[in-house]
Amino acid sequence: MNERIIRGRELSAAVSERCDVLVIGSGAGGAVLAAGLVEAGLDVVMLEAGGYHTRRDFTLNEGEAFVKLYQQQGARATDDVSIAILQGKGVGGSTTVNWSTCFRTPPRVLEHWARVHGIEGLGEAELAPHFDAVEARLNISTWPESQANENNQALLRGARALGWDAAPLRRNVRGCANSGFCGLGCPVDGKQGMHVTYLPDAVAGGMRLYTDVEVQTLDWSGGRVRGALGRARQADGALGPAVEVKAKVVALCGGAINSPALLLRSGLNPNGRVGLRTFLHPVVGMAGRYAHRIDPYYGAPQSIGSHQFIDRGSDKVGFFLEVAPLHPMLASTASALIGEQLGEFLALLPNLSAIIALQADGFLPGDEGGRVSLKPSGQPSIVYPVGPALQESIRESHAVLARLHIAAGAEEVASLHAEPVRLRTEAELPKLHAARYGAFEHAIFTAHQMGGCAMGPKAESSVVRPDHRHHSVENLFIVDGSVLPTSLGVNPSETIYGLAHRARAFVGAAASGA
Amino acid sequence: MPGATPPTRSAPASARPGISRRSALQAGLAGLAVFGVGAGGLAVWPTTEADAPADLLVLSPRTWSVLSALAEAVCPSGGGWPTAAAIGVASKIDKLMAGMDKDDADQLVLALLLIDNALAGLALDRRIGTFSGADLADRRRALQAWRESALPVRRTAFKALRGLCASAYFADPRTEAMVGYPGAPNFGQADAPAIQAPQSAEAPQSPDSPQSPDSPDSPQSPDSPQSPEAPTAPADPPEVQP
Repeated sequence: MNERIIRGRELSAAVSERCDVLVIGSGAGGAVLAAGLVEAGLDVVMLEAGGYHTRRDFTLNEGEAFVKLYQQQGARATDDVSIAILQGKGVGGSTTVNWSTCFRTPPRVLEHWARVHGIEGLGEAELAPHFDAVEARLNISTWPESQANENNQALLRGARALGWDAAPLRRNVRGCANSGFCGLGCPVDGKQGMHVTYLPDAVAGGMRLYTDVEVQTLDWSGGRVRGALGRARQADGALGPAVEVKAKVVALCGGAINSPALLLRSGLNPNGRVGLRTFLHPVVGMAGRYAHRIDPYYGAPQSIGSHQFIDRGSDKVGFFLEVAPLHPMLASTASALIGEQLGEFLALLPNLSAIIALQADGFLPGDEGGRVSLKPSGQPSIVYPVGPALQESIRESHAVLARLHIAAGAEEVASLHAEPVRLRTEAELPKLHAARYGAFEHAIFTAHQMGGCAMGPKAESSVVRPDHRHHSVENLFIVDGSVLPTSLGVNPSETIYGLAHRARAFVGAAASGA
Repeated sequence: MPGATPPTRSAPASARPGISRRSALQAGLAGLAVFGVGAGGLAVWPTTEADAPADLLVLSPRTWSVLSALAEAVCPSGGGWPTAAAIGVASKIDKLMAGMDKDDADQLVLALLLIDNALAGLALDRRIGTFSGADLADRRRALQAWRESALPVRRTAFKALRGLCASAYFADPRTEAMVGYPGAPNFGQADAPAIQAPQSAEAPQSPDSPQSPDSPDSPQSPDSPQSPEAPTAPADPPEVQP
């Protein structure tokens, strides 16, 4: 199969391809879509900006993994650097490095999309067969509570002590070694990322996959797209030979942030909506120090979750609770400490647990999230204001996180403020309430990027129709997390798998009839 | 899509409202102009020179020395911690910057010049001399001032540079012992075959090689107590079924 995986960094001459469908991006959307198109007998070419890495390349060193497997070498962030953005790059996209947590799109979210955004055809029952299919292929199943590591057990123990909801999570793994290195590339191919499932399926069926090819612009005019123009990134980092693909249909699957950026680079933004309503599930966390070892770097990274606070009323931002695995580099970036204080914090690592709260953005009236635009170089610029509603939910999140750790038996809990707020008992919670919250006040992360090419029925307020077809370029489809009209309130990978599975029929019909 | 009006090409948008890294740092550079600081102003307080390597990719010897001084202040030192210089933090970041988008690398260089600026330091922090020429305690005080500054450009520069220094330092295996991080076991993946055959949707296959680490002394059953030395990789991984 490898002759159909062409590494752009090894190209020495320009390439010109023709196909039925060009798929741009090999992550959760592109891979599931492409495999279905190939199965339907269509000729498919896929372009991926990142490299092709297999488990042989996964050294499990954070410094090497982030440079190789994450967007902007792991340094992607909002323009003011107030929010760190973890987003995968390379064959498989974020599915190669995510923490394996899977949820179907919650019914309350689908109902919100129908009621507020006018989206039809995305009901729970209509999506069910698509979720059934991807769950079977990716072996998505509940991780046994008995296998949850101590980091996750802290969340479970705390929630149960407080009488709050908490439950085991589902994961896309098969033969998982419970190693804890999901974020650095699974060393045993236990995680069923796209790079070991749908992409091999598609390549085996005839798809040509070009890696290291950065698409610079879509070739379009008069309401039709003819293909795309890219350049292969060479091993020395320089841009090399041109790669041109002409196709009957183009499916843009670069993910939130990169898909809107490509549309903007291509001058394809007729209604000014591209890049708007970008959502991040802004994440805040608190570290609990325990008397016993947590070893927060080992074991399935996420196996327990709680949606106790996802619905806080119609005027407040809800949030959900999970844990974050802590390897040294990631832990060091979560803090704003320097010098000896930083050393003291890291030296506690084996005894730390990190419970996180993920803010469900985009549901309140007027919550427009962030915006993707372009830097002068053509690379994406990301601005995300942390407004009063988010500051309130982040403040409440901190109180919840502290209570969880204390109930779970932590000796001390510390926030990730520049000067950490430390507490040992619930009686000290007022210290947290008095603290400041928002951009730069404490660490904020995201590993979930959504929106920017919103789906909707109206051409004036969205970018693609509910069947993923671009509102004004009839043979262009967008099939990735960028089409989500809001965030999800759950980890997004399975929603993208399911939507891409559903989109196979629409894209396939367009290519067959074109 | 019959009836749809073909779109017209829009100019790629590049400048948007809001505090972008670029605009923030540009504002900072405008601040330098207010102080009448150009290359001559920087020269008023000579920066302490360090032994910059000859094979720098992006940084100049001057900006490399500023970054080295900054890394020493960000990273722990003493008490058994290796120094940032011993880890080679500044050179690691130089290498990283070579792979960055040019806009981002340029902004980092500007941030280094801004943080080292003597007259700006005098006016804003009452610091005499350059950042890189200050002693370690003064550099850490200066960084704390940047971290908590009311000026967005300073908070952005602090967060970007601090993150790079801390990442380069703590990703290095030579810091693992002080952290108490046992590191990754050997799963034998370096010698494993790449994906050899597609896994069919109808009959998914297990990976070709064993899922457990090759090293017999590192894996443990998840039912066993966790040890500081070993991860919880089970010798016989669970095949979880719905």
